[in-house]
Amino acid sequence: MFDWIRENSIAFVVAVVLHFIFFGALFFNWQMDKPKKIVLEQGDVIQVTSVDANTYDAEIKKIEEQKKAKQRLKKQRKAEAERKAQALKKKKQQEQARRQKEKKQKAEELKRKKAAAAKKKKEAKKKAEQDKKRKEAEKKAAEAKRKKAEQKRKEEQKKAEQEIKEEKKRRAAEQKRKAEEEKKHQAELRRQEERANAERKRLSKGIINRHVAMIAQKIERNWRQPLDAPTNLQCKIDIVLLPSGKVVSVKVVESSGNLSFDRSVETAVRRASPLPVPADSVIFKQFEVMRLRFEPGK
Amino acid sequence: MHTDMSILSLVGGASVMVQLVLVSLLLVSIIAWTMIFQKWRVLKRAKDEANLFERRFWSGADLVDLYKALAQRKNAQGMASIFEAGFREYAKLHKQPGMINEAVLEGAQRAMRVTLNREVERVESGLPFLATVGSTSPYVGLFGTVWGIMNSFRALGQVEQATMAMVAPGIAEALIATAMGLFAAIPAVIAYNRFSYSVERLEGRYDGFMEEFYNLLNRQVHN
Repeated sequence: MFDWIRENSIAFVVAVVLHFIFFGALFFNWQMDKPKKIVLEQGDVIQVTSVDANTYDAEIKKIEEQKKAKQRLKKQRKAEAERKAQALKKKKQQEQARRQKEKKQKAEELKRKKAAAAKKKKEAKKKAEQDKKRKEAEKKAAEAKRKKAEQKRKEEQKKAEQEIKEEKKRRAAEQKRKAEEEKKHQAELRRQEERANAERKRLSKGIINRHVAMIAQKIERNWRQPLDAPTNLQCKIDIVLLPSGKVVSVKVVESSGNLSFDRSVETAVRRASPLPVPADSVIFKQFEVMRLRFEPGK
Repeated sequence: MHTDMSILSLVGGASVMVQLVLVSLLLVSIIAWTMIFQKWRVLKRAKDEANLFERRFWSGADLVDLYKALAQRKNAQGMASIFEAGFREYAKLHKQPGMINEAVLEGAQRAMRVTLNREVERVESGLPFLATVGSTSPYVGLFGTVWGIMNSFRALGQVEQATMAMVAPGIAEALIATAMGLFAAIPAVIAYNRFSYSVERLEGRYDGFMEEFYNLLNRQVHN
């Protein structure tokens, strides 16, 4: 065997070189000839305007509920405030009544006292001069007493006024605190809502991405390159889908310029029906009408 | 998910058995091609020589001179060696006293027949190898493919969810063995068919020359 090869070394070398050239070319070509791809850009999955209005039915419902709850809370708070105001009014009225009564009492007393004084004067006139001194003293004492009472009344009034003032101040502070609390609460609610929205958006975005990839794959599997079309074409199509994934219609909205290529893409989409759409009806709304860009040979 | 699907990586990822099959097929292919080149050269030279010799033989030159020239060169091949062997035997037997003409002619013919067989055998050698390569290397490649697919299915049985991406590379690398087998077989078959036809024609020409030369000798003996 080796002898034979040595005898025919030239032929052997030529054969080896031939194999090298052949396989080298094969490897090179194979690596250059990468599998074709259809690029479906996520950004090109458009939302249709009519869909947009009622895309998130559940979401809107939720938001409305939240609004209602807020309104209810507001109402409750208003009622409470009213109730408080009424209580305060009542208290005020009571206070006034009490004060009036006091005044009346005092006035009566004064009257009575006056009468007593007149009587005493008369009596004093009638009585001897010796009593005059005592009477004077008595009068003075009464005067002092009255003055004292007056003072006391004034003090009391002052105290009541101060109390009212304090009450007012306290109430204002309370109100202020409540308003602040309300503000905080609302901000918290808003933040929560925003977070929930973002979460939902994120989740649905993941699902959308996955399904777009799956749809792209299925269409790609069903695509046959037309023989007479160059490899570097691309076109945009609109697909209308049923919730089951069945293709209702395919339309080329941006032609590649090559009729048979456009038709091959349309055929691929029809052949790929039903497409793997998400089962969630809210997310499916995003797929109802899709715009896809086909870029094979990239 | 995107796997490197170049041939090199596929071969590197194949199982040992498949790699063995690939290597042996590559060796067989190289040897077959070596043989193709060698046979091609040999057959071409034999044909050229036959043409040249026939021209010289029928040019009317003296056969004794022709024989002497060939005997001096010593490395006569093909038609020339047949002529040399026949003429030598004829001259040897003719010189012997008491030889009847039939025996002389028979001896010369036998010598030529032996040389013709030797020459044909020389030209023909290696053709059975090409035939064997052509008929068996597809089977060898197929064996590698079956083995590789078997392995990839066995590996597939151990996972719960089978995807296309798991089966495809295994099958692709197994199919390389079949491709390799065909790659070795196709040239071998073509070359075998072509060369065996050439050898047949050459043999026919040798045979024809032998008959003509025998007639010549016959005429000379009976003169």
